[in-house]
Amino acid sequence: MIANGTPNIPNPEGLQSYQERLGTDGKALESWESFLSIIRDSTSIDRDYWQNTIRREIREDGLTFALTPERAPVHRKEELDPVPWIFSADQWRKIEAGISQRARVLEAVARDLLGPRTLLSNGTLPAELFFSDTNYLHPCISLPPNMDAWLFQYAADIARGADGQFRVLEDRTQVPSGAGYALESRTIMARVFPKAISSMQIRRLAPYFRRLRESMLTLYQGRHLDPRVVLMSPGPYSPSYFEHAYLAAYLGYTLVQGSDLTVRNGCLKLKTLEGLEPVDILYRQVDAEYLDPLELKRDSFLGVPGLLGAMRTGKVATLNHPGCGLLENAGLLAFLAPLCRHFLGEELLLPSVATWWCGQPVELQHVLTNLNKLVVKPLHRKWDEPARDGRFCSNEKLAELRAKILSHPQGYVAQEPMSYSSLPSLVGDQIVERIGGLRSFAFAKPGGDYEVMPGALARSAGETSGGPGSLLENKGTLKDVWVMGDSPEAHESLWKNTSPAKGTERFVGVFTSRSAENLFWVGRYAERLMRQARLLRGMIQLEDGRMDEEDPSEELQQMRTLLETYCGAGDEQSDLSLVASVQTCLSAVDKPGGSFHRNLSALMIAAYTVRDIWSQDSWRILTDLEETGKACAEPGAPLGTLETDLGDFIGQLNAFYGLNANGMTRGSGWSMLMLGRVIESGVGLCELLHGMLEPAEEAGSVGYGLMEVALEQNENLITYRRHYRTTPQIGSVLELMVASEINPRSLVFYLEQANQHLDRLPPPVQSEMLQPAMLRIRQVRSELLQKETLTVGPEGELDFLPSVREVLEQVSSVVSSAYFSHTTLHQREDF
Amino acid sequence: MSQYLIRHTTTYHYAFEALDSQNLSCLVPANFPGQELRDWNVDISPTPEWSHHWIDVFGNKRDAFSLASPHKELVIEMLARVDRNYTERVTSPLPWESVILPDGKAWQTAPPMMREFVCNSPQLPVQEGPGFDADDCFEPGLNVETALLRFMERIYDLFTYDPKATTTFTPLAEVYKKKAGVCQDFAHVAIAELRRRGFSAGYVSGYLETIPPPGVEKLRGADASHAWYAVYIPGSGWMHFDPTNNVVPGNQHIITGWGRDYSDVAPVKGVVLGGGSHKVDVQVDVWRWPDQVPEEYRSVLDGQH
Repeated sequence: MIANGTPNIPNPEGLQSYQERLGTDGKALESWESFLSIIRDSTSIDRDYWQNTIRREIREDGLTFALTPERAPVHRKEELDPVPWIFSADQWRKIEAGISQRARVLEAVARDLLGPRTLLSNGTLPAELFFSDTNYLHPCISLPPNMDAWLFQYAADIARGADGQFRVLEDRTQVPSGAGYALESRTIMARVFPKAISSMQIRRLAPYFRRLRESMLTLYQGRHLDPRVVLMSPGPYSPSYFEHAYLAAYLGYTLVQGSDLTVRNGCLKLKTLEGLEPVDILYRQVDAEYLDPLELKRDSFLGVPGLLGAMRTGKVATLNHPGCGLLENAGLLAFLAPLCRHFLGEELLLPSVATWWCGQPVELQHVLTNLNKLVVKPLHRKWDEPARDGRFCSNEKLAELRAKILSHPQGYVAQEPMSYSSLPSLVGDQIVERIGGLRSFAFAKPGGDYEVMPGALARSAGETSGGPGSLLENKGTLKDVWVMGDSPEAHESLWKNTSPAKGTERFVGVFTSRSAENLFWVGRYAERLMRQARLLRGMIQLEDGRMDEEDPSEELQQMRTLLETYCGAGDEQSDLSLVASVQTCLSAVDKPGGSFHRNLSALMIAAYTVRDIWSQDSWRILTDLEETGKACAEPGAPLGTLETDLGDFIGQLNAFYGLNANGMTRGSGWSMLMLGRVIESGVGLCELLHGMLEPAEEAGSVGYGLMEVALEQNENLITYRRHYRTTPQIGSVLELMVASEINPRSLVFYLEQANQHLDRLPPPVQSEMLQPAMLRIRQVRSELLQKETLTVGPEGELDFLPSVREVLEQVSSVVSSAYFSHTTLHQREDF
Repeated sequence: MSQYLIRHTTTYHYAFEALDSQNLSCLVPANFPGQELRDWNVDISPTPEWSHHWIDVFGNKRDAFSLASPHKELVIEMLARVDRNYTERVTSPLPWESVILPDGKAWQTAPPMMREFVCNSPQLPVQEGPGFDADDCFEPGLNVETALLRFMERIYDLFTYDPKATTTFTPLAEVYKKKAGVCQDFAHVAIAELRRRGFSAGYVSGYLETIPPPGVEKLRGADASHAWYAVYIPGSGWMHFDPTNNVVPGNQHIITGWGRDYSDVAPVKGVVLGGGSHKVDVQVDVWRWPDQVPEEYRSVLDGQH
């Protein structure tokens, strides 16, 4: 048994917070008890197991992976509480009714404010409230949605006050994010508590997403019977990119960025390897302001120029409608109850937190009089102007706040401070009470009603009880939300129904040019890392093994040269031991040639940009790979473990290759990945051969050590020994590495593979580019076989190596210019 | 009454081939009290792959068009024949205090939609303090027209016309600092300050007929697109002011676009794929119909809108 809970947490205003696990009679609710009993009856081994499983799943699914604006991967802290927020069927029905009613009111408001605007012209709503709102985007007024819903997706941040009443803190109508996190939390919890979920009859989330997808297509009013959908994200540097990739993969939509799209002849098109493909529905995760640099924010790089024009002529549906951001106007919260009566003839079931818009004289007076009891916010969330809680302001700050409001009263609202209810949470080994709130989601159904997700994204605050202003904005601990059903629910997959889901089939196997480009670079970076890791490990092994056999100083010099050409480091530090040089190489943050460190970052960024195409296992391997790589690159890492770490790294890369080889369909995407790999292999091999042969120009011969390191780096040492059963001879070494038709790591083999992949890509690239190089290698093969010594340099047998390298780089740039889009958009000067 | 033929030609020269461009124009004069559009045409070369004409939320005629084949030059020529019969000047008997928001009495019965023009707009964000000293223009109880004429004169006196001082996107704060700019800046400066004082003020874009000195022939392309502002007076309507010339616009001021600020009515804007750097050449002619109209333009509008 473990201790059961801490006493109530007082809210900042001194009231006791509402305890979710207790009924109105003060008795423990059965819904909570059935779950909490599992925790109470658990052993510390169970609890460790749950928490470790959750941590592992979070990490492996990539929930914590993010890119910083400085373009480096980081892992942000994300935690999931093993104790969910539990609602009985009856409790949830009330929330459901409240959420869908609010969505219906807001849809009616959107239809009016983005259309005839009678609410403003007849004075129902104060005109200045919206006209001073920067989210009231004029080009979006009277812009047809081409959908029978303006507000397709809706979310509301709600919390329960001390009086037991749920209230809405904010309506989310622009890009209601977080549904992917809810889904992800559930997926993890289902792995940890499968029995509890089924015995408690917890409602599943998959049917919600399946019906969302169906509803989107039914509501679409455009010209195509089978509309094609893409999910548009601001890209990998957006903090929500994980969610976008997750949702796109889950729903089966192609994940795109603005630069993947273009408007041609008034129609929205997707740039794919095969050419331009029409798009009918744009499922946007980008704020409306950024959608079209022609008509909206002119310096936006995230949008598609001409998108609004395509909407205006009825060619594309964008959801939510780009005008819907105006429903997030905080002043609107104050008017929702009368609007509900006006449009629906009903009382508002789920009230807003008490809100006063300062643009009206009476309200302004009230706010100024009670400033030290209220929270003041700008009309719209602004990153540079957070909400101010008057209760925690000094007199000086209050005076400042008052002046700010008075300078532009229309731009501010004040709200009653929200209180949050308290929830049992498992912290360490204890069940403790933590305050929390949740975000509920809904989508529009044909006929004007909304369906509410039987679950939500919840977060609970840390130890302090202070009102977490943006609790649901990536702060606090994630909590799954369990809604109990009236009856057992059959397991249902999102993909249960029939043949391919409408809206997705058209794009199956289609790669956007950007995805193709990133796959190509995943291939190149992965291979470059593989070659660097093998070379560095080979050097460590060499120093361990046989440095003392021959003239160590000369060989050491040769190794250093190789390190320098290959890893861009190791230069003049000849007083360092070889292992120390290797370590310098690994920890070098940046070198012109592309340090290990930099290649690792670049690999992770390219892979993350196409996060939607990796299987869970592939992503897990990549995450491990990144961690191992970082451990190797740690400046002070112990030398002793370096060899093992590099070995793990190589093993993980091989596992990644293997998963791809076994799992990826052999379409253009696969060819791009492989093309990147073989081109890099070829380039890398040319560099290696050059590094191996260059010292021989002076010395006249290549040392055994160097040849072994080179063979090992190319993963050919064992093959060589099996075939030749001798110490390395330069002629046969080169035959094996350059011209062997059966060695999958020979130069000619790489060229052959590159050729085959080029052939598989859609026109226009011609694979003949590589033919002369292959012919030349085959000619030289018989000569190599007979050589025991070798002429090197411009007159030697391998004089063509530099040109092979060059032709490979040419292929790389031809592929790049033929399939990847590089031309940049310019905002022309206005006149 | 005067009748005019207006020709407005915008030519973009690109350094390299432009592959693709999306464009938006607001060039065609509107119908307003005292102004009637007779016929008009917008000719684009090379021929766009797609174009769309619509009326925006302010009632302006808008054209969107896109080009998808490589080109190094884009020419947009707008021709419009307009009647001007601007006889009734808008006046008001009210003191200025009763036409300002939020408390001005005249607003109690005014259409709420007119309140839009007292709010901040994309290029004219909320301004905390005055941009320049104009308190003495607004003596207590002064007639609103008199006060607004003094205010216009203040801008005319304080700011210098200097095309080199600013670009289309110079922020207001910099214009205040430089005390110089072009007609767009003069209008913005006035609108921002008037809104701060509670007036409902809009941005007007259009053309101004220039009259050469006696005996001098009018040069081709020498006229200019122009901008000024208008203030909404409840009970009377919009009162126009041209602060660049310190005049109340008459028949020589032809109205094209109407909005909250320049960004609502930019004559031509575009996003280009490729093209590199570009040069732009704008020519405007405001010809009296039919005497001043060159022969080749006499019949170009026959059979148009």
